[in-house]
Amino acid sequence: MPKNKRNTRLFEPSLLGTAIKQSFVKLNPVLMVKNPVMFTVEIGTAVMFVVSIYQAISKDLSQGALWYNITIFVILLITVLFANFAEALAEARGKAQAESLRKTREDTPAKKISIADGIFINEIKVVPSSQLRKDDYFLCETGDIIPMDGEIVEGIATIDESAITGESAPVIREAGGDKSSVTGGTKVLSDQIKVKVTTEPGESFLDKMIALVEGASRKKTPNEIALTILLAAFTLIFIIVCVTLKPFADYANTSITIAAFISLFVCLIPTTIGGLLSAIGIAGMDRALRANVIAKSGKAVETAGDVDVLLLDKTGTITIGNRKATNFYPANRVNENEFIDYAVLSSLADDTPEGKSILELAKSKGKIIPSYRNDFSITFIKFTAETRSSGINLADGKKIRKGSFDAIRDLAKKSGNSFPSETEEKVKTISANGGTPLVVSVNNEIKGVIELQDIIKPGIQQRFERLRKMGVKTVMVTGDNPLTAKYIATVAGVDDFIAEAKPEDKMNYIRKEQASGKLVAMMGDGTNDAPALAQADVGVSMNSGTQAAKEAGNMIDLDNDPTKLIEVVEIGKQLLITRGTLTTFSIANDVAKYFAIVPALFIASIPALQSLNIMELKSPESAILSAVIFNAIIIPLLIPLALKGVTYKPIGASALLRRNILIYGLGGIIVPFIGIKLIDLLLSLFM
Amino acid sequence: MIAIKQIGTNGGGWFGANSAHPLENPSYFTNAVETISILLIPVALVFALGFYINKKKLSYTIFGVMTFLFIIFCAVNMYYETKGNPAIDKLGIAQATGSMEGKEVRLGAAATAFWSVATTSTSNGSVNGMHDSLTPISGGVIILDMMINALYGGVGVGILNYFIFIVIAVFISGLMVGRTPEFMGHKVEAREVKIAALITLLSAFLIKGFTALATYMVVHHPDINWAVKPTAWLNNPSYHGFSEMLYEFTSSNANNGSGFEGLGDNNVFWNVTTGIVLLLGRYLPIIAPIAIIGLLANKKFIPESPGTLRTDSATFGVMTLAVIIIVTALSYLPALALGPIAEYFTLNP
Repeated sequence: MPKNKRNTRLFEPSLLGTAIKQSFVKLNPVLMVKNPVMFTVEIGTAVMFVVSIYQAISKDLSQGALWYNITIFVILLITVLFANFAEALAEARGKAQAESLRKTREDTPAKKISIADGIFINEIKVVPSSQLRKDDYFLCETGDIIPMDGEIVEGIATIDESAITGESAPVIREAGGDKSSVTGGTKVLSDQIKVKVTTEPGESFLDKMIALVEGASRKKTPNEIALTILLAAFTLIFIIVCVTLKPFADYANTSITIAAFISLFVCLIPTTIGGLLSAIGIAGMDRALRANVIAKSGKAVETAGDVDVLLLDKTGTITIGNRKATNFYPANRVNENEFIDYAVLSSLADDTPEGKSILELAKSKGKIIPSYRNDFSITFIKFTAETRSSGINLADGKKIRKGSFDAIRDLAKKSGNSFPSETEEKVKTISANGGTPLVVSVNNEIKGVIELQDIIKPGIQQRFERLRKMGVKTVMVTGDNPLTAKYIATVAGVDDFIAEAKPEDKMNYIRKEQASGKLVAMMGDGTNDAPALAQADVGVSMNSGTQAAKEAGNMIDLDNDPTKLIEVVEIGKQLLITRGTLTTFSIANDVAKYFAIVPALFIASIPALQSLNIMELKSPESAILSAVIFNAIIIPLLIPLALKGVTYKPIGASALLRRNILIYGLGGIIVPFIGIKLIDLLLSLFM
Repeated sequence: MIAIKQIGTNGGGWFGANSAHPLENPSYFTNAVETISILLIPVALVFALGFYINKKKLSYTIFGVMTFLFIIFCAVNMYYETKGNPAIDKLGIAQATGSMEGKEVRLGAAATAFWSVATTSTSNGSVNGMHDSLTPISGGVIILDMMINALYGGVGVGILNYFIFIVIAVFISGLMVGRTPEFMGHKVEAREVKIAALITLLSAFLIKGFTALATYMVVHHPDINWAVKPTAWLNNPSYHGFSEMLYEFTSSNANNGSGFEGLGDNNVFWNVTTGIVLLLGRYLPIIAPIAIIGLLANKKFIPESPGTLRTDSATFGVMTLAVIIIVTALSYLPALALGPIAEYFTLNP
């Protein structure tokens, strides 16, 4: 889906400036304390600063050379800055993304109208959109930009939503029903609508999301909290390691400088993941936004990764929009050509996609479609829920009707005509194959049946296969009868289906799955979807949906794309995986750092420990410096990975774990050996 | 007496020399029986777990990981013990039977090496030779073994320390496969991780904190008027003396009970400190896993799906092994480097 991807380069120059500035602002200890790992690094940096100052004044060389201490101080400072930079960059990217969406709707003139006793007073006051309040009304005509999010109360219009969705085809929005929502920043292409404002300025979902990204209202998600605790515990373990090392070293008659202690500590604590943790979280929301999904909380994105069951609407998700006519089956003794003519006539005034598809099919069979004229001799019969059929009355008195099997059968029976058995047979076959039969009659005499088929979206089977490998069960929700539903479910490869679904059926299904401990995600747009959206663990509502649906869900899809759920699940999984793999990588790095620093600490008093210096680093100072430098630069090197996320492959949990242990665990052990050695070689040129 | 001592993972013998004494362990045959008795119930407990929770495969995985480490430890110890002591080599004395210092001639170096690993893996603590006299690497291995303190189950406590490692492994690997981590169908979240992390911290704190205190006494207050002055604590000063102190607290924390004898430890300092370590190191790690289980049991049960990470797979076994090695290695390497490792490299330059 390239149409709606807004791609910003990873290190967008315009964002770098803000990010760098923010890295310094974030040095404020009050902000740092939220991140225990990096906070301890900051304290270490401060200590090194004091040591360097003290040394510069007192010229006391017992703590090592001055340049060495200052270098350590600078590297530690850079380490903290790098971590802040990662977070700031992620924030800046998310914000830029959200701002670009928000910009579209700022300060557009609004044609405000007022209402008295339920009647609109046709007096238009043009005000800036920022002055619109909730429950105000405004008018939009052809060519107007819609100033605020709202709900249409009167009228119907075609709207260009490309500013939000990137999709250029216009959409129809009308009062009442499930497609009544309009979004600020989109453009009315035709007609006129009256809209009621649904949000206060600054409180739209987008505003909320921007606040989430900016950090003001960012809450740590449960997994993030658990991980922070684990990382804090590792940090404490290494505090114990370093503190107890002092008496140990005294016992071994070794003096260890403060710089060495702090370097050891900073290298051992998981700074890599500690520095990137919040960036990963923000990037997750940002990726959701890039997929044009507004998440109302970070938790929602994370939960999406855990989802076990996906409820998908058949129409639009599994099948392409609507049914299409695929075959004409005339009854016995009816000429096919004649039958097609009747079918065409019956569908002339039928504006439904099904009706149009019948004309298309006829055209493809070489029929010339008579033009639509306002001929008074012809009466078009509209479809009504009562007759459940539509058609045409011709000038010669022929009454052509088209409708569902039982509706037309009843018509025929009433006038004493029998229903041909071979047509009845055909109707059954069509139903069993997942199609919809439409029976055509002329003067209540059965002429044949048109087969309508659902067209299953190309590639959807593979997507379901992918979901199955992820361990997600897919459930198709459809209003079709069980027979049709079963057929489509089998062909598309979904695991289960709800046929003849009423809104409460969805709700019950969700409850049932949740009762057995599963997490359920669903997508919906209508007001009657709202309870189910609220009940689902992840409820994605379409932006075109009603306000009630949008309030109920915890994510909003700006593209109104029903397959978006699948993407959302992957984004959620990616978020967790990125955290897990970087944690593993970070901790695995310690092995090499130990081999660099421990021999360096004791080499003076225990020369035998030289054998532990398996990297053959040049000197104790260069060994410690190399380890600290490696520790610092690995953070920016991993920023792209943290922001883009680790690639997710649905290959089953154990295989995925094996893969990630190999890459990030084993890789995490090997990479620093190489990295530290290289830095040491480089340093040995200067030292 | 011997039956209780060995099978009950108690370890306290009648004679000071424990199973090195001919009356407690007269022949090679009794030695074999006693070694098996050390391991009998602890190993059985791993299988009992699988039997009771109806997850035999989980037991096999756990047993596999434990045995893997156990065999490596045994192999290392047997290698170094049968190889002999390089210091004696230098004197030109042949050591056909391996390093025999502190060992019983009727049992031999290999049997003592095997026993040393068996007794430190389980929280038994009986000895059939003097651990103080093991070669440096073997001494380091048994200290490490007690630091891990998770191989097989102790009688009465089962696999509780291994369980802590499982919780951490489940958490990290759960994240790595993109799902909120779960163990046996229950989500592992912040509180469980917190408890598991605290227990890992606890042993690190007790072992290293108190060893640090001991070294501090030796360096800064060598002449305090206790029954045995800190200067006189150590039969062998330097690295080996450090190992002796480290061993003492590690053994107390692991509720093992064996000692690197050669430490003058019958005095106020050692009796009080090891008492404290013993109490904390024993009871808190029992409370914690039960607390975690309690928390987990109160959570919704989540049925397994293809996306669930199976904890009874070999992959997860490897993950747990990696967590055990990395967590222990990371937190104890500096201490081990100053003790056994420094001693080894000094002996074998």
